[in-house]
Amino acid sequence: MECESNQMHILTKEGDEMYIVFSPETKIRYGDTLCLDDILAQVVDIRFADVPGVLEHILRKSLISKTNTQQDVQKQIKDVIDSLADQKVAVAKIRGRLEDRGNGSGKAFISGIEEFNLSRANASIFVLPENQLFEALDLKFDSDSAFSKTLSVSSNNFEITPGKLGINIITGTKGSGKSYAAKRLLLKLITHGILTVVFDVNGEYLNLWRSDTKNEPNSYAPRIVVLTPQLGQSKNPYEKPLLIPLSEIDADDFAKLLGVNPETTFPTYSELLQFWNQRRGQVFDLNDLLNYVSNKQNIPTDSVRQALMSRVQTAISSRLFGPGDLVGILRKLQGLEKDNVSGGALVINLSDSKAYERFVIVEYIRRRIEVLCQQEKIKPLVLFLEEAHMYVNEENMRNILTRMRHFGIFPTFITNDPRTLPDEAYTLLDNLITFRFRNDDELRHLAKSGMLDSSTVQSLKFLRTRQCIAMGEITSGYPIFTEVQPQQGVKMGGETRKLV
Amino acid sequence: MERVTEIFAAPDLQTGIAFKPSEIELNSFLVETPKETQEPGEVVVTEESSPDFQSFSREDGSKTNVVATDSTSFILGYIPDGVVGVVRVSVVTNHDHSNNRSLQLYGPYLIAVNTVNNDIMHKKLNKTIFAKEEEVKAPAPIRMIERVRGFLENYVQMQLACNLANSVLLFDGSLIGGTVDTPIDFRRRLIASAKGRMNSIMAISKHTNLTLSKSRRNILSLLEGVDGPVFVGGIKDKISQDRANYLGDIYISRFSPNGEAFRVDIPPESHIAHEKLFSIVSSMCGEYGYPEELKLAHMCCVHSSLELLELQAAAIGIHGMTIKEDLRKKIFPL
Repeated sequence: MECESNQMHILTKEGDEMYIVFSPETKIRYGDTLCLDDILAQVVDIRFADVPGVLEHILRKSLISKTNTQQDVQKQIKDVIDSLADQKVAVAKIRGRLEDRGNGSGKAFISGIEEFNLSRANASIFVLPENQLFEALDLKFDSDSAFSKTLSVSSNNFEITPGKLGINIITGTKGSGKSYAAKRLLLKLITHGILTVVFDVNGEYLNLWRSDTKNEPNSYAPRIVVLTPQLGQSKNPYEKPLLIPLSEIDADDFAKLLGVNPETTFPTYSELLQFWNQRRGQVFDLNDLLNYVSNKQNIPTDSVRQALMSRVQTAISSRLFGPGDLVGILRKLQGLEKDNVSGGALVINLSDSKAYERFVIVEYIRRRIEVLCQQEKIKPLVLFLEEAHMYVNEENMRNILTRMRHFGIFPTFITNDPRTLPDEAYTLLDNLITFRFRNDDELRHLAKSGMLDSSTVQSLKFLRTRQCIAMGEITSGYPIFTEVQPQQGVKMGGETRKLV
Repeated sequence: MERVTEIFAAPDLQTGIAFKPSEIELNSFLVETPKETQEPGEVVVTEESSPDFQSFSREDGSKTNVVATDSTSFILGYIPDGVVGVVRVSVVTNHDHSNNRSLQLYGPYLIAVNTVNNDIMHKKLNKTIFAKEEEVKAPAPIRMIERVRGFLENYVQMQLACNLANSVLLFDGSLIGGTVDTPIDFRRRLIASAKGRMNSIMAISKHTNLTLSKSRRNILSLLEGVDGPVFVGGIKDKISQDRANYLGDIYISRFSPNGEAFRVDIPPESHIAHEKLFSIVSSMCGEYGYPEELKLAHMCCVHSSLELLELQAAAIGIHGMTIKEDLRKKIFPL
């Protein structure tokens, strides 16, 4: 429902913020776009109007408690009582203006304003219906089942267009709905025929193949593969063991995994390096390594040999290494193999892995994907990194942010704490989907990114679970306040065990 | 008191008439029209050379309900040949004299009067509240709002006297009857009804027209230089004019040691003895020696400037009026 302009009045303008007074019966919500003549300003805060005498008015009312007060008034004036004390002020950030596209093809949103000639008395003010806003922003969605619905009084479906995903961050405090949104996005990407590789540290994505009502496979199940390191007996056909072919990691990673420090145990490290160097370009496994280190001719020094044999035994018992078919799985989920159905999710289950194992596993997957994309053996894909700081070091993070996108790998960082991502992530960011935060330090960090201004960021404090602000390429650079819609038919909960 | 809204229902006006709102300063937080004085003018009281000052205790252990009532009116604006105003009465009850208080508000009631409906309304209220059938000339519309306030206050006082029991009833004003706004027989019925329900009335005035015969000073000056709690009585017997209209014994009292002096009217045959009543009321006096319940009743009934602006808006909406600009402002815009 469009609000009448005579219910809203311009109070003032401070910097790039308009202050609009409106009466209690006028419906305005956070994120609504107000159209003031041709200027568009987005509501980022709603306050009580600072009416003189209101303190005394309230103090007087507080003399005797409300529960002990009865009031008899004429019914005609009941609605008017306290309406002045309840006058509100909407603080609306000027985003730009509407300009005719010409040829009668509607209006386009132009960022910024060149002049300011609004009249307090005569300006036409109304809440711009979201469908008109989206039209001006060139946002067109054809999906029936929307990713989310906007929070506006004139709500509209909002979709994330996969082609606009670049470097993305989904963030929000625990329980704010960010993981739910990420999973919903992942399912949308599957529908769009896109493969997503997920580094899942919290076991959040392990049940995505299940139906939400029965413990049975859902319609997405054939397109989901969960790779679990050190997997014993698989409990379902969608979970497979994650095995790293030894020849597909380098000597440094292997040394790191087994605690061989090049500085303190150089002879041991040197032997490993030699083994790798001798087999460059060949396929080898732990048996080859064991045979190599057991041979006195290869390693004459007993202590070094014994040390290496013990480490290789540890590697064998870790069950991390073996022949794997990562390429086959990736190609299958991209419809590059026989079945020809494109789109899926490869979930790398890191929930039970030790910290040092996580780094090696992720680095192995990252490198393989990078090479495969570079060689165009697989199609472009999306990478979901949940709490990336737990398994990506600084150097690899730089790689992910700067190099991988050029090969067609688009990272989405999902985190509780935006401070755990490097500044570079925000500098290169294409899209931000942020959920509720209450901590000022986290809000300041988000504001620092430059994607959202500090006033808009403050409104995150008021969002409910699953409500978020989306901003970036996916919104044509206009902050969209939206609520992620429920996913039907899929068990969205992870594997977190409850105390009681 | 379900009938209050019905009795004081907003009358219909012709729609589209011009309305010139009264100026309301938002910085004036509580706004009211001064009440009409009930006494006709200066009333002379024979002065004694040495008044009988009586001290009383401020301690009181009684568990009586104390009920205070006050009223207010305000002219919201002017219509052709009339005014639109608002009236409200508050009733504050201190249950068992224990500081557990409740509040009943009657109003705000919008009243629109002009030369057409003025007499009709006056007659209707006279009949409904005072049970008077004979024609009494209505005041000019501009004074009618204040008169309606008087009607409403009288109505609420009577309801309290008739429906409560074993309570102390504190009224703002006096117990004079036979005035333009309170017939003497109505005042007598009020006092009798209260007594019949074992209620005790005390009416307290901040101002009075009673004047000492020799010094020509207000009778409140009798307590100058006398520390409270104290009262001086026997004043009614020394009133020179229309003494029969004064239905209560009249005192000047200072309820607290450094408080102000007030005129106090108490019906002669009060259920609670007058001295005891002074003690009860004195024990609930705060700053300036004014009873807290009456103070609350006053603060709760007076309209705040915000309420008055809301009521102006409501009046315009209900009666479909159009705002008439102040001619002075039109001519001298700055």
